[in-house]
Amino acid sequence: MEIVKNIGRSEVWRYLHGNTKFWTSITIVLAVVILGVIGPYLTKYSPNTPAGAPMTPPSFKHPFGTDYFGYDVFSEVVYGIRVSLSVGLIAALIATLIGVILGMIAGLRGGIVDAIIDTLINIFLSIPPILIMILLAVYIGKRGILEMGLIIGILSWQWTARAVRAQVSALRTSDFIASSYLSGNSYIKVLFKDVLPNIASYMFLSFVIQLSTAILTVVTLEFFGLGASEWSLGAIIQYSVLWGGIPLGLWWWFLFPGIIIVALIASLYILVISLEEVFNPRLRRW
Amino acid sequence: MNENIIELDNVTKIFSLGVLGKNKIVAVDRVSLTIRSGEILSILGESGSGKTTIARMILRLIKPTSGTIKFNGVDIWKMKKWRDIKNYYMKVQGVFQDPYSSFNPRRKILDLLLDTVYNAFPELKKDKRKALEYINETLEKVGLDINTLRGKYPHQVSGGQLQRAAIARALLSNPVFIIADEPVSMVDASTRIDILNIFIDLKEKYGTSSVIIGHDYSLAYYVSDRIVVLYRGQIVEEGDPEVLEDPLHPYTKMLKESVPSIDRRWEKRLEYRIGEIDVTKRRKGCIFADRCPFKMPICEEKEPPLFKVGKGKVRCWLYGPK
Amino acid sequence: MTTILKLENYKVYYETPNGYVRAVDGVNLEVEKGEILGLIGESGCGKSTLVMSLVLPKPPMKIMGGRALLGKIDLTKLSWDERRKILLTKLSIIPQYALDALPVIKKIGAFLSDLAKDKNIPEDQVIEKFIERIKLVGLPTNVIDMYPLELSGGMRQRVIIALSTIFSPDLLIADEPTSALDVSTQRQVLELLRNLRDTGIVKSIIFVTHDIASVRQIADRIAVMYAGKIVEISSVEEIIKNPLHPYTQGLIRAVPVLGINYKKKRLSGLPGQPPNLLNPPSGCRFYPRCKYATPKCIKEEPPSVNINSRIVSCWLYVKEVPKK
Repeated sequence: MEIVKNIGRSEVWRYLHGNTKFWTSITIVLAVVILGVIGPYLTKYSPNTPAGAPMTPPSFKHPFGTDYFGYDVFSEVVYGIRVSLSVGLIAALIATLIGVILGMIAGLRGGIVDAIIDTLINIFLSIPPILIMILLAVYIGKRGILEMGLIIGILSWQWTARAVRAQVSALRTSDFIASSYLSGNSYIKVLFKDVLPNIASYMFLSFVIQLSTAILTVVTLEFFGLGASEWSLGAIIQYSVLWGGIPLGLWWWFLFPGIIIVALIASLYILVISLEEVFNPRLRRW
Repeated sequence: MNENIIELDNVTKIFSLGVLGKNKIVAVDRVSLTIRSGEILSILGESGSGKTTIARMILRLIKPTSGTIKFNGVDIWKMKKWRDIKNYYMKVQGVFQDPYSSFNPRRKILDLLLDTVYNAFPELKKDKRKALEYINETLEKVGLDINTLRGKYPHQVSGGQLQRAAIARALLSNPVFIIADEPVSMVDASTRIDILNIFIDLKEKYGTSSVIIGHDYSLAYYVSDRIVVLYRGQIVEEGDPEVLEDPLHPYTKMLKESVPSIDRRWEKRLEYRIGEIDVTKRRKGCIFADRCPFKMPICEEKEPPLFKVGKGKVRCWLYGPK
Repeated sequence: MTTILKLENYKVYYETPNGYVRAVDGVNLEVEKGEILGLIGESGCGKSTLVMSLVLPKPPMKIMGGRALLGKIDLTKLSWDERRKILLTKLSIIPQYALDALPVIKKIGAFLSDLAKDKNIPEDQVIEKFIERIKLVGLPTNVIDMYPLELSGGMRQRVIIALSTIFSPDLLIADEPTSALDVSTQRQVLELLRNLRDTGIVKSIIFVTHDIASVRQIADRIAVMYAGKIVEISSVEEIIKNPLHPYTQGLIRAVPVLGINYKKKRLSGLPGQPPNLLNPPSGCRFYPRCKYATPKCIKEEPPSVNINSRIVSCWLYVKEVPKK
């Protein structure tokens, strides 16, 4: 089967080409991101001032309708995407960074360093993160995008760390790491030249997973009123619940942000599955 | 000529397996071995003999449970600073069994060779062209040229070519000693001899010593100045090729008889009992007693020491004092 | 003698984005009843592809032409269902990575009941047969209740042999069955294969390997494959003593005989690399590595000639026919 192995890198693109899962999910994710980026320029209403008659269903003037107070739901949603996505992105970056660094060091060094980091991972795995996040978010008072990202990030790295540690431990005893040491490369060089490239695709996958869970966490916290801004996806749903959006039949008020949240998280998960097929040839169907 | 480069003194390695390390595997059992300057030593053994563990201990990749390994009189496991370890690696090199796993699949082959050159000769860092010239010279020693490897990843060349590149990598730092763990078992039968010839050439031209680990009796016989036979972590027989032409230890005899040779066909069936070895259990007395057709009562009781017989050494009561 | 397998101009290519890899390119080969045929060659010469394509041709492997007659059945024309019927009963294989071929989480016994269901044979009959074979290969009968994980490499290989010969196939293909084993177990497995043929459990065996020394021990005839083509076929004794094709000569010269030390005699391997089968050289595929190569070898492919019932494809042995 060597011949098949020899086809090389362009094969990844060839494989992606016919992968519907990948293209559907990436399109949805990008659509939401683009909506968050250019959305505010598409609407003439500010999310901070009432835009028209309250409680009107979707129309040309207000594509997502207006809420109980007359705010334009579309404007709220597009600004909300910005906030929720930014927090999720920062959290995922921080969690992946901490996880990869700790996991790599533990896996490559082994011994006592590994034991210490492993204990740390287990401690973080055993505490319920959402509870700590709520406590922290309440405690710090000022909740900006950066602060919320940090809080979520430093409480979510443990899964990545554990997975990366397992991957790198398997690499540690491999001959090519030994060859690299024998060539005179130090730990740091081995880490960057040999370990990192071999877990890069894995790192990317775990970042996407982190992103989807972080967004879910962000939205949950926002729903509890612990968002980074008044206008975030979770907060819109919280208001719609608090101000009787459901009994009053104002379905557009919670349905549109809800659909966006579900679509985003689901697509990110499907994206991970499709990328795994590409990165891990054993999952392919031929 | 007879100065010792590497000395293993009573080296033991015990691996712990299972929950809380309940199962212990004695991979290497009180092995004492010296490698002299300018010799090729073969370590002959089957799987479970501890041959790979010995190689990895000498390369400082696995720490022995007890015993010392010295390089030019210095205990290699007392080295702590990376600079000392790096200097050791520049003098003592290794080649592994599977060439495809000894190169990082995501790096170009030449990148690792360049790393070695830059680490061994930092002054060449400024002159990449000179470094590549030097690599090409070294590749020529192993029967390759740089154009075969240029821009290529490990999976893009053949196993034989990649194993040559791995040997070239080991040679770049001008080592005085190379340990090769089954360097030919994954390459084609047609290229095995040429790869072994590289080690012979190195010895003859530059006086480089090497240890070649393997399980093929005829290849070990061909390439070595001295052969050590390993069974379940112990040295059972030792001697120069002439001694091994007519081996004494029943295990070595069995190995010799099992190896297919092109010049003859097996006529009668092999008479040795080939039981499955349970590596987690150690027996009293001689480790080969359960498979040995010449077993005597003493073999069950007492472990035989290495007896000197003629020019060689053998761990078997058959050759002990009567 | 009856022919068990007959390949006529048999071609198997690999479909790759860069074109066809011509792994098996026009092979003519006959396996007689009662013989062990050794198929030797370097890695990448197409020998594994040749035998795998007979058993289970699956993409990217593609049969491009010719016939493969197993008795009266043309293997190239079988549907998946027809193929399943003859597997194990007429044609069977010990695959190269047999050690990993058994599902790890299933007991050997569970594997047998799957087999019984698949072949529509009562389970106790299958178990009875299996126990017969297990005794033959020298394993205790309680392996039925064991998981493959509990077996050592040599034991697993013998279980595979027992399984693959359970329905006494006409033709057994052994693809490098010993390369992952220790020398002492290697000898046992080789002797076992010979025994299977001697007792008539299988009629014929194709033994695929790159190790001439081990094929020497059990084969009756040897076919040498190079770059997708068979370059020489003859009896073991003749091919070892007097190899005709320059490639065979090189292969044999590269293998040390027990008892030769480098100080006595320096041996040399076969220089050069086998060609890339995506673009094989024109003419004789061996000419880039051949010391006898002439301009004719570069231009024209040598025909197979028959010399005293030996077959060789090399211009050295083609008598010049005077032009009319």
